[in-house]
Amino acid sequence: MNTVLTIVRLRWALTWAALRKSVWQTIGYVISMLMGLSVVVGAGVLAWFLGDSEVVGQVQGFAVGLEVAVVLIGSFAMVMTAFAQLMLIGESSTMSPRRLELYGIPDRILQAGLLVSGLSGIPAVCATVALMLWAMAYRWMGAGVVITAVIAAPLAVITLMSVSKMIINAATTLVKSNQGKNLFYLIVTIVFVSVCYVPSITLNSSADLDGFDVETLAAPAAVFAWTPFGAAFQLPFDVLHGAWGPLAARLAILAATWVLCFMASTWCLRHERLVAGASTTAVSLKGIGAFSWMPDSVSGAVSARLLTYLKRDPRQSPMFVFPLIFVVLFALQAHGVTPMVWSAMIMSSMFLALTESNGLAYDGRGLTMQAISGVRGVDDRHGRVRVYAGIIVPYMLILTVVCFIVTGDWRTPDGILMGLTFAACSTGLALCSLGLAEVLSCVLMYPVPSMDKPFSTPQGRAVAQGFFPFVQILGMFVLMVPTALVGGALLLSGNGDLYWALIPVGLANGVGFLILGSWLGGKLMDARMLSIIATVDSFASLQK
Amino acid sequence: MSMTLDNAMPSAAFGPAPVPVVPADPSAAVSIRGLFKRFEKKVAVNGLSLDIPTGSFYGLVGPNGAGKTTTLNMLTGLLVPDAGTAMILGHDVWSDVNRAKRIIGVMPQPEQIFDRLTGMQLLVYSGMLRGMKRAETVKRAKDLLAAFDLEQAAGKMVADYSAGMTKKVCLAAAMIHSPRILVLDEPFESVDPVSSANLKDILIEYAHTGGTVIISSHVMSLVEKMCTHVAVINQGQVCAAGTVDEVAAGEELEDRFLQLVGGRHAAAHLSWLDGGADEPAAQASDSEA
Repeated sequence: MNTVLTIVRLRWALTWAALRKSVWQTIGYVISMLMGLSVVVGAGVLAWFLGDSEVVGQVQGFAVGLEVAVVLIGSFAMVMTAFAQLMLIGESSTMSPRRLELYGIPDRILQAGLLVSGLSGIPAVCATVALMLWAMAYRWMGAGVVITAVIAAPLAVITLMSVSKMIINAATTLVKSNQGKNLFYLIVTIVFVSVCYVPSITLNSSADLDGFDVETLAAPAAVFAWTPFGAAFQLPFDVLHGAWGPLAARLAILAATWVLCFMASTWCLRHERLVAGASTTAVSLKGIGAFSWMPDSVSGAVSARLLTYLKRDPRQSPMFVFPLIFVVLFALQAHGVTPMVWSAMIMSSMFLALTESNGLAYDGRGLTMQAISGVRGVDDRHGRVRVYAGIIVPYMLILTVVCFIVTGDWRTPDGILMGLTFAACSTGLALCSLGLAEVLSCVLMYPVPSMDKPFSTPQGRAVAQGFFPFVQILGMFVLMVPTALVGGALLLSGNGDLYWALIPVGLANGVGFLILGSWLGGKLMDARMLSIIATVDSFASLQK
Repeated sequence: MSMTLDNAMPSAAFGPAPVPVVPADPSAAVSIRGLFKRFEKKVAVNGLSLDIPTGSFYGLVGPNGAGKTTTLNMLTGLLVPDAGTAMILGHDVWSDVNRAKRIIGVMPQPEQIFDRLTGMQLLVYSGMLRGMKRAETVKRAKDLLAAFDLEQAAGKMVADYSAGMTKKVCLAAAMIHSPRILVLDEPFESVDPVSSANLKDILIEYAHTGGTVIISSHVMSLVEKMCTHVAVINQGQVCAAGTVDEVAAGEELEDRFLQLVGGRHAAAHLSWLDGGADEPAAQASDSEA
């Protein structure tokens, strides 16, 4: 127990030390505390109003609706949080078990310490308090229900923490080879994005059924209430119904989940320790790959290097799958409205150059080689643009063909014209985005996880990571203003049927800003190369 | 102390050193005058001046934190000095940084390379980055891999190399464009004896053909054996520089180094650090035996 407490103390000591060292960390921390606080206050206020017996009396079937909604939303939030932990947060780099392995702490105690230190963190504490306050929503059901809800709050948080830790441990331990990581990350991303769309697709397709039906959702809610994700949320309602048997069974499910997750995590720790450093099969490549066919120049070397990396980098490759997912998801929800499918292309163009807007941080310290060799900024930018434009343009062409096939718009001249306009404007937007990325990547960099551990979080990432991509997304739409102006002028002058004029305008808009962006990015890179290197060096120290 | 140029006198802890009295020497491979760099409150390099003759095998030695790496970074265009000048073969480094970078070959540290490339790809990348043609780069990369005993590993990712192999491929990356000056920070660290003997042969041969090698190292015996010249750096300044014999002044270089740098003290007696002699378990097993 003593060791467990020491690990918790260590976690907080490290947090304080990080706060003292960096203003940005402090700002990030304050922001996340405010967010946590607002969740707590929000939950409390909402619960206060919902628990008012007058409100309850006014709505028919309120009690059943509340039960179904709480269990379903609670379960969904649990599943999503566990997923998000894996994708975005991952194993905390400060409290990695690997850093503690020198001290010979027994696996079980180490695992317990990491679990408790996770539970002592702000997110866990906020979630617990918010769920406890939520109990106020049940106050019309009687004291027993409220007390059960208060007790169930920490149980839900412990379950979530156990499951998340287990998933992360399993992912880090079991997915070893680089190709495996790449594939695994891709699959997780696709599943996550698809699952995010499940509620929207379900609601969308039941929309014609004249309103929202509690009965149809009661069945899945009842199922979820027997899983670790929903059990804790069902406990107060069991007390309400006087269902003591199911209450005990659900408590047993929760306890079993904790034990199983703990055992699995401990097994992963041991497995990791015992087989660490076991030989992984090294891939051997004959020849020099992309270096043999890229242009024989400095920028060609940059291109070949970048392309080789994109193929081997599990952090960046999912971005190239998103566009296809969008088309599929939009097609599922379109209900025959073809512009809906085409608008997926616009979504796609937002993502294709999103990682490139932080491309130098993804390159990491390897970039020093360019600084050592005295590569001109313009050569670097040309090399990078060659690769990305070489991906974006064919990709957009393929998506255009796919959209034509899915929508059937190729059958009519009007359909063809509309499709081509969407395609041209999306391509223009993607090229604008690339041009902007070439500028922003020299200026607004934020820490990224290391290539070896794509599931980990570098310290102090949250603030910058949320804000900087927003600049990129906002900026690319600003750059498309010329096209929008032409479109607006056509509409206002009553020449709306000449909208196909946007095809050349959109493309020229994109190409123009791409050229401008590469030039400006090159200048910026020349001026800022040494600070860029210093920045990626400091990011590397956050990844350790 | 006669070998130092103009700043043997320890100057005040803060503020740039006085303007150098001896002008920079354009005929030298490297000529540094009054180089100064401060990181927040710590002065890392304090008005350092040094001439490195063309064709020399020059060792920079000094304790940890003496300012060796900072000096080399300012010399190779990777760190902007707060004051002072650095000249490479008569060209001022900071008036055209990229030109200076093309004349020299800097060995990247193992974490400063793109280690997801194969060894062969890394060398081709390194050459093409310097504007070399692909065909010539590929030819030289093969020669270098052979010279460094890395032929078998040419197609493997550098991330899968051992520490010593990585070091070798880093050195090869610095040499592929046949620079006139090689700058190597701790080149032999974690390289096995056989490879390091081969590396030394290549470097000595290179120096004989007129190339200049500048290495920083902690290993005094290595510097004494390989280098023609040596500079002892301490607290951001040169406290002795010249040929190895001049600096050693008739003593072992290591002894002379310790005299110059100071800080050696009598072995501290840690009464509890006793190799387990009075551990009960050890005594028990002794008595059983």
